[in-house]
Amino acid sequence: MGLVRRTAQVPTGEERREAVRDSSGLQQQLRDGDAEQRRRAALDLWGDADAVPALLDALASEHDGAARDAVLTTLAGHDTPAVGAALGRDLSSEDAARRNAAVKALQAMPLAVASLVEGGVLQDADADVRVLAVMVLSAVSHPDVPQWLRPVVDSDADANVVAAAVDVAVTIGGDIAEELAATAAGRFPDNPYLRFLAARTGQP
Amino acid sequence: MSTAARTDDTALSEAQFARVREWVYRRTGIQFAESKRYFVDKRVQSCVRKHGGSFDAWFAGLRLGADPALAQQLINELTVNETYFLREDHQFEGLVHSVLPAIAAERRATGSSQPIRILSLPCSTGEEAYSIGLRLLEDWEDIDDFDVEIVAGDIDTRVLSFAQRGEYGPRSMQRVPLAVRTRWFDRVDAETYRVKQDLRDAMDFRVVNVCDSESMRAYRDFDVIFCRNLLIYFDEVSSRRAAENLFGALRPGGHLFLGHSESMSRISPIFTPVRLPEGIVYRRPPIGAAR
Repeated sequence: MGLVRRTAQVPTGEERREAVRDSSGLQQQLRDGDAEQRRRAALDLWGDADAVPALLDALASEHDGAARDAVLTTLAGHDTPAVGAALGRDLSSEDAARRNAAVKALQAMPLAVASLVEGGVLQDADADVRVLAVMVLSAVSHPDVPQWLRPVVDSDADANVVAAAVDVAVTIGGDIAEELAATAAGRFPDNPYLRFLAARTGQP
Repeated sequence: MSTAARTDDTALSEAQFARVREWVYRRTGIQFAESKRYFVDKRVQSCVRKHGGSFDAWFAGLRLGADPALAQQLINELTVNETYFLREDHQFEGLVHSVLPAIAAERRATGSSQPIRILSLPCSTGEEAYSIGLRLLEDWEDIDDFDVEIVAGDIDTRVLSFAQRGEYGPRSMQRVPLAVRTRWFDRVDAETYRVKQDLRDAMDFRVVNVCDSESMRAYRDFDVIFCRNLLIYFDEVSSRRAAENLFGALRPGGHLFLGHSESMSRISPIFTPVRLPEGIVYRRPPIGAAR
């Protein structure tokens, strides 16, 4: 007993996985009864553009959290409008974990987010979806974020959506933060949080 | 009007500091306490000066991704890229006094004779992997009752060669007590020590890229992984991918140690944070645990 070295050890379960390493086999494995097998198949499909439809199907039906996160991780590597649209649909899911996972994944996908914004996600009829869409903007790296925020603050009827947008502007700082905070406070003068943000961003 | 820096040219305003701190946390998982304010201020101002404009112009470029080099420059400024024996030793304390006793109790309860497997990633020049071995041999009372495998990986074959050779100078050795040096090192010259052959032979150094699922597929069934101060350098997608691969390398119920100021929470929800007396460790949920 003590420290030992066993370099020749064969990992458990490797043989089974080797048998299904081609793309179609892995896509089939996305429907395996074992969640761990589905999780591993999703990761192994990294970089395979042909597998995106199967991954999107899996995303819609996957109920295991770890397997779903693996699907999202692989999909996040495909920063495209199609993937963005699918994740955008999850922003209105009844499942909080699914909504949050979509927000987190989209934050790493600037092109998909740009497409979603162009598609009108910030004008969605559901204010909760608009808040989540603004939360996506809180971390995504895209030079157009300030100009996406401005119309939200200028015209969204819901004070919570506007407050979320100002919160994002504050993370950017500078003129945009002061401008949007002042606009928001002017539109909702009875909202103490927006007044607080305007006062705070106006300070050096 | 732009946010003005305070009159001291190395100090950020409260709002500037808050914005930088938030960005650093989101991007790297590193959490800077107020006590680190001076350290952060100086390095941020260095980045702003190199950028050549105002703080606001620099930060907008950083936050909106206009120039990816700005992010890497700031991360490099804010991180200490060095390794030495017994660095962040409280985590090894957590391994020896909290994690390994729990694993040993579980093995005994189930009658399992499987070895306890520990992975060190990225192992760089080997100090962390050898430190794990040293702490187990010196301080874990059950070491004679279990087989323990330590596997250490890095993407850089040059550092792996260094690690396998096991020779270290004074900077690496600064925290190693004299008694431990005597027991586990041979003196090469006035400044250089070499890890004794028994300990070197017990280490399994391998080439691995933690972001590459193909490469990581061979790494399975580990009880403990140390992956400290690596994920901070990755972008969002790469860190998610690395986290998934680390998850896959652990047994259900296995433990992941990140750097002491790093957080998994901003990367992925798949691990469960566990508070040990010695700090936070992240756990792959045991089979059947709800998420």
